[in-house]
Amino acid sequence: MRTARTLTLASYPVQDLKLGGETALVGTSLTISPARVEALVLTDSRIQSVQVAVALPGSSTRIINVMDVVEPRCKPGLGAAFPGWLSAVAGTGQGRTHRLANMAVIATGRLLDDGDSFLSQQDAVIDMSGEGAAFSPFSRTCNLVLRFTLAPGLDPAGQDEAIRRATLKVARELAAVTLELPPAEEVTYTLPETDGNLPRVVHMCELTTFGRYFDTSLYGVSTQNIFPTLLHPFDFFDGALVSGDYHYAGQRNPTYWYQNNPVAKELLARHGQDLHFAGCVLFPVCPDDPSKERSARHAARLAELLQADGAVVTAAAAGNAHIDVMFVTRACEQIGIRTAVVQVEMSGPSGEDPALVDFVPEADLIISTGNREQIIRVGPVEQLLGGERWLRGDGDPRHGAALPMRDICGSNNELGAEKLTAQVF
Amino acid sequence: MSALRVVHYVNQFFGGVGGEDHADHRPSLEMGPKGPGMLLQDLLGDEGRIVATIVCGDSFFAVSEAEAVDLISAFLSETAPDLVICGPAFDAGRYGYACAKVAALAEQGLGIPAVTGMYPENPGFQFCRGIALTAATGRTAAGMRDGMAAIVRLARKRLAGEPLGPADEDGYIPTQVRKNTFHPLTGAERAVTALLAKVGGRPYRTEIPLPAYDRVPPPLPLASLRGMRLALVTEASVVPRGNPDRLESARGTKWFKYPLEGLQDLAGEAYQTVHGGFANAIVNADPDRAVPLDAMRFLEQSEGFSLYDHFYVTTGMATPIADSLRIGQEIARDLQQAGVNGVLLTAT
Repeated sequence: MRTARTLTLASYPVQDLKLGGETALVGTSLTISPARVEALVLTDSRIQSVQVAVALPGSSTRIINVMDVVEPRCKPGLGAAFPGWLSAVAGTGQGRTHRLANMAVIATGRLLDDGDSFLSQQDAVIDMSGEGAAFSPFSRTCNLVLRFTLAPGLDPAGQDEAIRRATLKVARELAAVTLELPPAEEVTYTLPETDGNLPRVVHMCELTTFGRYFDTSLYGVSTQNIFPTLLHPFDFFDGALVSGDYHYAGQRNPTYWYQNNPVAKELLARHGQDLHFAGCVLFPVCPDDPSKERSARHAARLAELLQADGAVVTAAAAGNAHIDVMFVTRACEQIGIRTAVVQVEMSGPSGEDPALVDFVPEADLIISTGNREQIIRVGPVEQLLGGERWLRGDGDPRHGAALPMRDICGSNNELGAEKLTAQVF
Repeated sequence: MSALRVVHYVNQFFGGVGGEDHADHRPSLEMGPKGPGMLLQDLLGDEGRIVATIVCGDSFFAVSEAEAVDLISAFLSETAPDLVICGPAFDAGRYGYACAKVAALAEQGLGIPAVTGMYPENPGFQFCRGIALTAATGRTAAGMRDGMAAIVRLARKRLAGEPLGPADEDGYIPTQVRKNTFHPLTGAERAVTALLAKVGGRPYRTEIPLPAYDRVPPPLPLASLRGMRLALVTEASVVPRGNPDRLESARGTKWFKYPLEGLQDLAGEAYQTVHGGFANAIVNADPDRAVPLDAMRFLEQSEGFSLYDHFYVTTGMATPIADSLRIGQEIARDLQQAGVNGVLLTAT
């Protein structure tokens, strides 16, 4: 007999963060030893140096060149975290996991630009106060900012891998500070059987799978060319998906949002009440029409195998990637699985362009996570972290600037984590 | 504070002149409220006084618009209102057109705040879209009370200079500009709730309605390629190495033409793509795969056309439609001047 899977998430909220001699959590006050962080990171000779800084909510701080945002999490015992990257896959998504809540490790750095305009790092900003702060959830977390400088001669894949691995190690190390402490909050997730009358809902999650700098890893393996597959929601919470996506900041999913999958959390909260959460389907962006069609039909069949009545279909990236979302939506609707799509709009700076680059008649329920092309004017800041220059613009990042919404980390998050949307005027 | 001076514009029917047989009624100025103006006065209460009603036949406005506008302008100048209300026109096409035009005249021509109302699909709306606030009403006069109430609410906001809420909240026909706002709930919460309504057969509403694109009819194909001049045009951002003219990688606003004379193909050493929407390596290795000069040179021999000695390039990645339209028109003009008969347009 299978035993029912449960995952207990023990939360340790952080309200204050500073650098100091010893890494320790006292109440909600976290002190981090930069020397410890450096020692941990520099065991990888691919990393030449790392600058460690703190960015607190409300401070006059701008973080640029953001690559990933990771919530510190690890499991008691062997301290497992981020399966495939740092730990074995066995044990993922069950038992107990500790997390530092309201806290994030932010990896920043300039990756090698070899001239590809598509598979390239884009500007990514977090303003901790001022006009821009309202649009990034990470203006409200206590952040440890890691600015990486890489050893010369690394290729793009090596650079990305080194920074990702180092960031995950730091995230795990920080979470481990909680292992002997009593949590402020504990939530145990289960997915018990329901009475059979409740509508069965799945989360169909698009992943960016374009290749280097625009990629997602599952259990430590790149999902480029992946076939649609299933993932248990609890595996999201235990870091099964790690972002390698450094394209537009507003719409991409940093690891933080896979860890805190808002669709899974909402479905879990309502499981047994007005729905039955039947599971998650992951699907890629495919490079051409036949492969998009093949992938979409297969994704829909997986949802059908989970006996889904409805699917929340979340997008990743935009443009080409939204075509796959529409193909999946059509494939689901055509076999009787109702859909709600969550995606960002590309309505132009004036809001006058059509929001959608592609659509199917079946996509009659689309939740908007806002227009990514709106320009936000942000003011000057006292502290600049993550770099000295914009990747693609001129001017001193310390000064005021006109930022497109798509450059603000998390603003248009397509897992539906945020409250930004767009309406017709 | 004294009551606002309000002038109400209505057609021959609502003005009490007569039905369709009086649709040619010349614009006239009546004292006080007429017809639905009574309801309007009631809704305005002490805030406003309908000092006059302009009555104009729907056909008169349609057929003798210039004269109608002259007369109505004179009436408005004479009565000097603080606010002009037109209609509501509901689903009536000619009346909707007239209401839209008069409201636009007041706002744009005379600087008088004006509000009108009609059914959202009334073709008249486009004539005041973005110029005068238009309440969204039902199809028929059965919705007069609701329609007039919506007009009055909008008029209050207009006069107070209050920013409008989204169209569906404030009851006006949208100009279709999409603006970012914050919702009390997250996207995930909204998605799950709306999905359950959809699955359960209950009403639900999309936040992004599917667009209706206009169709561009393609021109007739060339009967024969022999003797024709063809040109290569692309949005694949293929430019000379180094991108000397700084073509954008996304949201293109520029286009360029580069010489092909004497070239049999585009070499990766001399050309590159800077397009931000696809992985550049394949086109950088062989730019002919985005701008097929090699194939065109081959076909020139067998098909007997001549290839124009320049190719045209822009960037079509997240490019706003207005820019695309302008770029297309400018390239088309250049192609015409160059005597080009047909274009091979490569897209990504």
